[in-house]
Amino acid sequence: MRDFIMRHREGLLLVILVISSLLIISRQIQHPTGVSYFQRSVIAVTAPFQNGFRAVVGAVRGVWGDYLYLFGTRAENIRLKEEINQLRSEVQTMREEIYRAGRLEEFFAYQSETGFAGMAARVIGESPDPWSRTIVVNRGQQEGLKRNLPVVTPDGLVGSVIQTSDHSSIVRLIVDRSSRVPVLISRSRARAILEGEGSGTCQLKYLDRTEDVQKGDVVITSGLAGIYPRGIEVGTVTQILSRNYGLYQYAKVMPKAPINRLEDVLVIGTEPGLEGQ
Amino acid sequence: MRYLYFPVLFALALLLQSSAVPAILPEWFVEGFDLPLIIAVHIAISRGKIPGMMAGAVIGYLQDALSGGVLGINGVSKIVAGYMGGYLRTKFFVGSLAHRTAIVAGTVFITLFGKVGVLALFDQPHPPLMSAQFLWGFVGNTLFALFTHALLDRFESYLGIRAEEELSLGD
Repeated sequence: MRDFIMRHREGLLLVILVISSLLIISRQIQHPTGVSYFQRSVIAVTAPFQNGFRAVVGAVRGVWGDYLYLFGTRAENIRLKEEINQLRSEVQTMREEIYRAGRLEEFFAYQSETGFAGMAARVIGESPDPWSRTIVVNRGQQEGLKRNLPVVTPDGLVGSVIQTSDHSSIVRLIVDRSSRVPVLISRSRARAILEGEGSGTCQLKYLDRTEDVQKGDVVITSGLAGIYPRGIEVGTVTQILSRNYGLYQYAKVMPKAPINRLEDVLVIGTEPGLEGQ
Repeated sequence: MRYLYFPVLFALALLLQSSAVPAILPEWFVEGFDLPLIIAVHIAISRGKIPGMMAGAVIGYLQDALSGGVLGINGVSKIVAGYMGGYLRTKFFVGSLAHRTAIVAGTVFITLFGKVGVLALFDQPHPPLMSAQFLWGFVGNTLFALFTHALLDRFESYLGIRAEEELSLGD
């Protein structure tokens, strides 16, 4: 027996690990009880590092733009160039601050226009799985975030909170393949379900083939699922995929929110709070 | 050094993948760049099946926890990557670039195929096998894995940890 185990230890380990993993997956799918302690701990531990990494990456990008192209110039100009770089860096920082202040103003304006009170949050990370479209924001349970809260920008819907830890949360984007949002075509009031396509676009599904939908139509949330309030702009129809058979027609939708370059978002349904950025 | 090396490597891979890579590189590029997979493949090819599977399990489960998806999807696919990388390295000559390409491509393909299979088995959304996302995932990760493997190989030789690891963990 011992010889058998030793001889086949690699295969046995593979079988044990794979079966254990499949059981873990199966259990989660059958009993979706929310976030496990393991997941919450991993998110809590990594959030400060992700925040730091984002800051470093931002600084490196700024330096790349402001400094590296000067590399290799004459030695006697080094001091002057360092001064220039320092000033440029300060200008860059101030521009960034002005830009952020502008975005927060937009959030304020959006809240007063729509009546959706919420809390601004900064994007500090994205999903490490290329097939999953989620982001990590720097607000968590301690700040009042909880599962299923909608996340928006003044441009449109971004997604919803799916996991929270103390000071950070994971948000599933509307372009994620698991995302489902009940929506309306703003012009014709036709109902459909918006599903993510995994890349930068979404698809309208379960749209009755007799309904009127046109390229350029604006898609808004219908408020039916109880997660997203009615009337949030989601995207624009870019292509109709209609066949000669079947009950439904389909359409491609380009999200209005800048899904691939999100920096700050508004989590609605929480106590208002734009401070602490 | 050798005890710290793997935790640091895993942490760096996950942080780079979640924070730096999407901020610097275009979206289509990121879809073909799964750094945790590349690290799991490297460990499997350089150390063998058992270290490959263990590394795949750790980094895959951490990746699942950070991505907010179902826990175990990346775990199981990277365990398979660890096993396949370790298995294929015994069938080919790792020192030859052509053979190494075959090992890496085979491991990456089986891993992505396995991931789609697990997602389909549990009725979870997944990219179709004949999609640009899947094909770029295969080609991109194979190319990056070859490059990363060569880079880490030299780095480990420089640190002097390769020989120790191979003596203690080799097949």
